[in-house]
Amino acid sequence: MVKFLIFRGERGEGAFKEYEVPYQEGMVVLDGVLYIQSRFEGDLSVRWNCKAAKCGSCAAEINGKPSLMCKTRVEHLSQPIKVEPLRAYPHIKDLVADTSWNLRTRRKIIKDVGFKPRKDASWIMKDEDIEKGREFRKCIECALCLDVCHVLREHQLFDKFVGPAYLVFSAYLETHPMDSVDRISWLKEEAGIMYCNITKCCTEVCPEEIHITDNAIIPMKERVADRYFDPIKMLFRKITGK
Amino acid sequence: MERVFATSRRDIWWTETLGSAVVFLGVILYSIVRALEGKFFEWGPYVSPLYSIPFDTAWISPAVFTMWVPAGYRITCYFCRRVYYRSIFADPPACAVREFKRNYKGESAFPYILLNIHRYFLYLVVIFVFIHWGHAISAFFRWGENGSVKFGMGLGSLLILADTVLLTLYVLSCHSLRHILGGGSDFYSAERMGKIKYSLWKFVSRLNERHGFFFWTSLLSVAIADFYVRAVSSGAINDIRFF
Ligand code: SF4
Ligand code: SF4
Ligand code: FES
Ligand code: FES
Repeated sequence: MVKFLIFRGERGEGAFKEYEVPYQEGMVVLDGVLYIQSRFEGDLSVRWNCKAAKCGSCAAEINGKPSLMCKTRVEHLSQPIKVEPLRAYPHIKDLVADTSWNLRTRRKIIKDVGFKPRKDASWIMKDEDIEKGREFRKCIECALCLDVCHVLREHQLFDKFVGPAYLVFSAYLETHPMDSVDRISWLKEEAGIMYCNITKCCTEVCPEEIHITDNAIIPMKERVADRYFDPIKMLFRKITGK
Repeated sequence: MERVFATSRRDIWWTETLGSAVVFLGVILYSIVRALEGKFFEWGPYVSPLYSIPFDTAWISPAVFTMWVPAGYRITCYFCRRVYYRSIFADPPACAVREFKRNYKGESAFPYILLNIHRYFLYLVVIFVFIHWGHAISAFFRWGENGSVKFGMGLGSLLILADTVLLTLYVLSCHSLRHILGGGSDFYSAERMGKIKYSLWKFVSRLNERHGFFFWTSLLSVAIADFYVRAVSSGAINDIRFF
């Protein structure tokens, strides 16, 4: 048997309830949760779709670590396995949190600084030109990184900081060879990239193993530094007018 | 969930936080003590890595003149920032662990916004890397009485060489260097010198994956090499010579 502690309740109010589920080989946390839903608690709210770690909807906190329920094997976990909703976001019910901020943020990025292709280059690209973006494209928008990021989770700066996932998205647009949009001032002012203090929790939880901090955030911070925090470069730009 | 350090995590999350704090503060403290002591930086062919440029002043420890460059470089290093934000300022103490309530501004405001000066320390530290290589090479030679030069090797030569190699790898894996050498470009195949930029970016990126490892090992190797030089220079031990 596998012991589970599942958070039950609505709008942040509630408590953990214990359940026992028969163990099966290769069992993941989502199997246990769905077993509980089908046998004991028909009204247990849980979000999932693909059960293949690709849709990003089954994100929850398992033994305190933001994880995908469908990708986390029970045999690696200490019991009782504690499952709770993403804590950074407003709670709706049981294991479901309100992550609609994510969709709004993505839409806003596309509207404000979306991709506009260059006119002076060809779409036929070499491998080396798309190498950086390949990693960023793997993002499944599961929100694990957003949930664990202390800027959002602890300090709740949802209105000032777009969060790691959307910095990955921005880095993808920004490093695209055919892109013509200047996002540097947007990154600093609107995206709030300087709120990130590069403590790398996002990188630690990403199920797609994207090096969020090292490959997306820090390179973007360096570009912001080029424009705003590098006195010699700033002087050079003044003189040459570039 | 309201208490500071509250978490649902089951692992002993504070070991990493505490371990980093102890090593990090330990090396800082050691360096300060050594700078104040202000002597035993040289012995025979050895020059301590804490004392890169031989300045001779009577009124202030020579280490103070040179230490601010590597110290500033490390304090502004992206990896080092992660280390002290987590283990000294508990901001956050570890992932998904509650922290102190504060008016959080991250690196968007004073004082942490100043850390963006990192690239200037990088330019300076590159000079130091060359000086260190000079010291590392001369640590393998001894001057005889009649002006002859003899190749030789002691434990100190190896420690100084190891420190120099680690420092070099630490600098070569730097995020700012990665950006300057090619990371800032997006269209390598069409840009001027794009091929070179791409190769350099790839090279630094590969080392960059180990940047944290090089940070820690090069931090320790400075202290170890200096400790050894101090020990032989003060006469506490005899240099262990291989030939
Ligand atoms: S970056 Fe990783 S953790 Fe963040 S949303 Fe994308 S896949 Fe999930
Ligand atoms: S590295 Fe930055 S974005 Fe990632 S979790 Fe830490 S503060 Fe958030
Ligand atoms: S159900 Fe799709 S990622 Fe888990
Ligand atoms: S980022 Fe660590 S030395 Fe530059």
